[in-house]
Amino acid sequence: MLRLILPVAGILLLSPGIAAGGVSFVDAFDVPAGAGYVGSETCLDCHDDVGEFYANSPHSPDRGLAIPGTGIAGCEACHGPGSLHVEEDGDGFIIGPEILAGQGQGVKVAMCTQCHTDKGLEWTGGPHAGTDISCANCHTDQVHFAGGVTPVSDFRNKGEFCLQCHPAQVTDFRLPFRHRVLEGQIDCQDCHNPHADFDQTAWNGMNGVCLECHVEMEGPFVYEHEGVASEDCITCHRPHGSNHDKLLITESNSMCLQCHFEQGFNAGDGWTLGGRGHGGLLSDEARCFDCHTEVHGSNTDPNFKDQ
Amino acid sequence: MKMNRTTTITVLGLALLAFALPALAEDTVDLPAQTERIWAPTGDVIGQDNHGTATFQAKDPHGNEAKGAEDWQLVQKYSGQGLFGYFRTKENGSQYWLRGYGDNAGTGGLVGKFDLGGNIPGQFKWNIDFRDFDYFYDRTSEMRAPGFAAPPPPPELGGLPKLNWRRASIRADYRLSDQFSLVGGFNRKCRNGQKGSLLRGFGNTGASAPGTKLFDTTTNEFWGGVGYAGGGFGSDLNVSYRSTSGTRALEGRHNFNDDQTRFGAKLGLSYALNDNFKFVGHGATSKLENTGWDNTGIRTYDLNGETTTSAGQIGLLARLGKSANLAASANFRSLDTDARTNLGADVQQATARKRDSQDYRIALNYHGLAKTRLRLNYRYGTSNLDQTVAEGDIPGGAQVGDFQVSDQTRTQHDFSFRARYRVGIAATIKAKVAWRKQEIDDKNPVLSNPGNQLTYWMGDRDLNRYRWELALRMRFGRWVRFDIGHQAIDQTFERKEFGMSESTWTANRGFTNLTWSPGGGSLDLYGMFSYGVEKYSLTTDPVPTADMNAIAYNGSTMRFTPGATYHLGENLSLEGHYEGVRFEDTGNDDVIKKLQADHDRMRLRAGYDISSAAKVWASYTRNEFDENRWDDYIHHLYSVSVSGTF
Repeated sequence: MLRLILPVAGILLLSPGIAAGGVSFVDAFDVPAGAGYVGSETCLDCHDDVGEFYANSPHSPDRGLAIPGTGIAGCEACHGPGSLHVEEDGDGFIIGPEILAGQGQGVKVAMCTQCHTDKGLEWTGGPHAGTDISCANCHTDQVHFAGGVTPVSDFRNKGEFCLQCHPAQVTDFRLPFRHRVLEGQIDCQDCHNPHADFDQTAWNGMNGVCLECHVEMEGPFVYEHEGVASEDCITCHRPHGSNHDKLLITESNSMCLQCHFEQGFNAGDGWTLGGRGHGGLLSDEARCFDCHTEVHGSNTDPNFKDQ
Repeated sequence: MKMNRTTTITVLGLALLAFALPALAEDTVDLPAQTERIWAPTGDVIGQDNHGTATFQAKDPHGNEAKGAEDWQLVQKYSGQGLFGYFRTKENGSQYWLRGYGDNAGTGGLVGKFDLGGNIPGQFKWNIDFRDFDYFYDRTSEMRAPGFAAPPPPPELGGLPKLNWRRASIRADYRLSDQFSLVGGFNRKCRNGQKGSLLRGFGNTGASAPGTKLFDTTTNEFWGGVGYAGGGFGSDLNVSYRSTSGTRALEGRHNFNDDQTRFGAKLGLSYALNDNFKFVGHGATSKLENTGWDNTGIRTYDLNGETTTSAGQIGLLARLGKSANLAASANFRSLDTDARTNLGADVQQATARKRDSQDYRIALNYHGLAKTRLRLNYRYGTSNLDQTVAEGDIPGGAQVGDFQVSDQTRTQHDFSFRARYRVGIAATIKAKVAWRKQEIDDKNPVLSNPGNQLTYWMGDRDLNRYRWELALRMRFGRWVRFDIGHQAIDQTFERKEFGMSESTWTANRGFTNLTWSPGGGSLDLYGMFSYGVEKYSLTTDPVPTADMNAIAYNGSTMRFTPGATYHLGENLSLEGHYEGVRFEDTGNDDVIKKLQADHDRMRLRAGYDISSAAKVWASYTRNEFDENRWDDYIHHLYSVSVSGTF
C-alpha cells in the first residue's frame, strides 16, 4: 500500500504550483506582438466554407464555446488571435494550416485537449502516443482540416473505422473463429481504448479487458492457472481470430505442451507429465481438457480436473 | 534468432522494390491500401443523413447447417435485415441520434443493436447502447485425429447450441463548470443459453458428442467519476461497483452458482510543469469477492474468495528539443488473495497468495532526421509470488491440512525499436524489431507432506521471443496503392528442471495489398493476398501413437481477396468480390492425416439509383466451407434491398 501512497502523495505535493504552471496551446507558438482576438464572425466573413462545415457540429462557431477559463472561443481558440491576419488581408499572422502541419503530435493534441481536458489525462499513455497520430486523424468529421480516413460516423459499426489503418486485423477477423467485429456485434473499443493504454492499474493488466465479459474466469480461485494469472490470456488465445475453436492458438494437445512439455514425454516413457504417466489417458483421441476441464482456475482441484 | 529462407527473400525483395520503384511515384503516401469490404451488408456506409435500408433474404442451404450457423448465424430460410439512422440538430445546437440494425436470420426472433444519444455541446452528452445477439455452435467437436480424418462424422448433439449475449450500457457526461465535470454510467451483460464446448460429454473422449456449457448469468456495473482541470493540473477520480450473479453448468454435472462483487476506485493526476514537461500519476485499488458455490456432482462447496489489489503508476512526459520526446513510467501492483472452500463448517481447500510486481518503462521518439521517425521502447519488470495452498486450512487456521508453499520470482525485459523512412515522395518503409526475455526462478515447493504435492510445479524457465516486421507502402500516381510486408516471430521456451525441455514457436507471414482506383472513373479494382506459416514444435519431436491427437502443429493460412466495382452510367453500379481462406495443418502428418479446410466466399451485387434519395439493390452471396472432415456446407443467399435517405 505504501507503494501506492507515496507516488500519489508526491504528485499532490506538486499540485500547489498549478496556477503558475498553466499552459495553453497558443503558448507553444510565437504569437505576434499586438495581435488581438477579433471573434469568429470576422473570420467567417472570408472563410464561409468553414462555417458551413461546422453548421451541424458541436464545434460550430455559433455555439460560442470557449476554452475553459479563458473566454477565447471559435476559430481563434485553435488558430490564435486574428487581428493582424485580418489587417494583412489574410496573409499570415495566425497559426495556420502550414504551421500546424509542421507540428509534432504533442502540439496537435494540445490543441484539442485545451478544451477536452478529460482526454488529456488519458492520451498520455495511449497506443497512439508517440506516433504521428493525433486527434484530428481519427475525428475527421469533427474538424475541417483533416482528411484521408472515412469518418467513424459513416460506418454501421464503429470497429471498422479503426481497420482503415490496421488492415492486418481484417485478415484475423475473417478467420473461421473470431470475435465478431466485422459483423458489428463487438467493437474494437470494447477492448481497446484508442486514447489510453491497457489499464496498468487494473486487476491483471491486459487480462482485465477479457475479464470484463468473461467474468467467471476472474475468480479469485483457490488454485489458479499460472498461464492465466501470471501470463496473459493471449498466451493460449488469439482474441481477434483463429483457425481453431475457442480462439486457441493451436489445435488440441499441441497447445498445452508448449509449456508443459517435459523431456521424456514419449511413448517409451509412458507419456509422463508432472510425474504421472498419461499413456492410457491420451489414447482414444483424448485431449488435455477432456480431463482438466477447469483450465482457467479451480476451487476444488489443484490439477483443474472436474471433481 | 533464426533467419530462414523466406525471411531473406522477403527482405531482399522489399529492398529492391524500395529503391527501384519510387521514381514512378507521384502522389503522397496516405492510408494503407484497402480491399473492398465483402462482409459489409447493403447500405452499410451510411453517413450522417437520416437513412434506412430494408433487406429481404432467402437462403438455399446445402450440407452441414449447424456448421453454417456457427460461422454465419444463419438458420432461417427466409429472413429480413434492416439498418437505420436518424439525426437531429436543434436550434440551440443540441443534437440527438438513433441508429441501429437488426435481423431475424438466427432463431427467427429479432436481434441487433441500437445506439441512442444526444448532447448539448460543451455541457452535456449522453448515450445508450444496446446489443442483443445469438451465437450458435456446431454439433460436433473440432478435432484432428486419425479417427476423424474423414467422414463419416462422429456422434453429434441433438440440438443446435445457442448462447445469447445481451449487453446494455448507459453513459452521461456533464460539465459542471470550466474546471469540474461529472461522468457516470451503468453496464449490464447477460448470458443465457447453451455453448458448445471443446471437451466431450461426461466421461467421454474420442468419438463422442461434445459437451456443452450452460449459462444464465447477469453482470451489473455502476460507475461514476469527477474530473478537475485547471491551469496545468488535471485529475479524475472514478469509482465502480460490479456484481455478477447466476448459474453456470458444465454438462449438467458440474454446477456453479456465481456471486461475485468487485469494488474499484482510481485516481488520476497530471501536472504540466511547462510546455516541455508533464507528470502523470494513477493510483487504484480494488476488492474482488466471490461467495458462490461449486457443486461437483458429488458435493457442494461454499466459496469464500477475496482479492485485494493496490496499484500505482507515475510517469513523466518530456519534450527534448524540437525533435525528440520521452516518456518514462514506473508501475507497481500488489495482489493479495485469500480463498477457501467449505463443506459446512469444514475448510476443504484454502490459499493465501501474494503477488507483487513492478515495472519500469521508457519510450523515446526521435524525428530529427529528414524523412525518418524512430521509436525506442524498453520495459523492465519484476514480480514475486508467495503462495500457500492447502487441503484444509492454511497454517495458522483451525483445520490445517497438507499444504504446499511456493516462491517464484520473474524478471522480464522487453525491447522494441521502430523506424519509418520515407523514400521519395510516395514510398515509405516501416520496420520493427522486438525482443522479450523472461526468466522465472521457481523454487522447489515446500511440502508439509512430501508424499502429497498439490499443484503442478513448472520449475525454472526462460523465454526468448523475437518479432520483426518490415513493410513497404507505395503510391503510383493517384490511382494505384501498393503495400507489401513481412512479419515474423521466433520464440524458444526452456524448462531447466526437466533436462532443458524446449518448445519453439516460429511464424512467418507475408502480405500484399493492391488497389487500382481511378477516382471518377467507372472501374475500381482491389486485391489482397496474405500467406502465413506457423509451427509449434518440441525438442525431441515425440510422435503420437495411432490413437492419439496431434502433438506437433504446422499450420499455414492463405487469404486471397480480389474484387471490383463498376459504375455503368450514373445510376447503375455492379460489384463483385471473392474471398478465399485456405488453412492446412500438417503437424504429425506422418501419423495423422493432414487437415485441409477451405472457405470460399463470393458476392455479386447490383445497385440502381431510383432517385437521388432512393436505391434498390439485388445481391447473390455464396458461402462454402470445404474440409476433409465432415462439416462441409454451401449457402446460396439471394437478397433484395431498398435504401433511402430522408
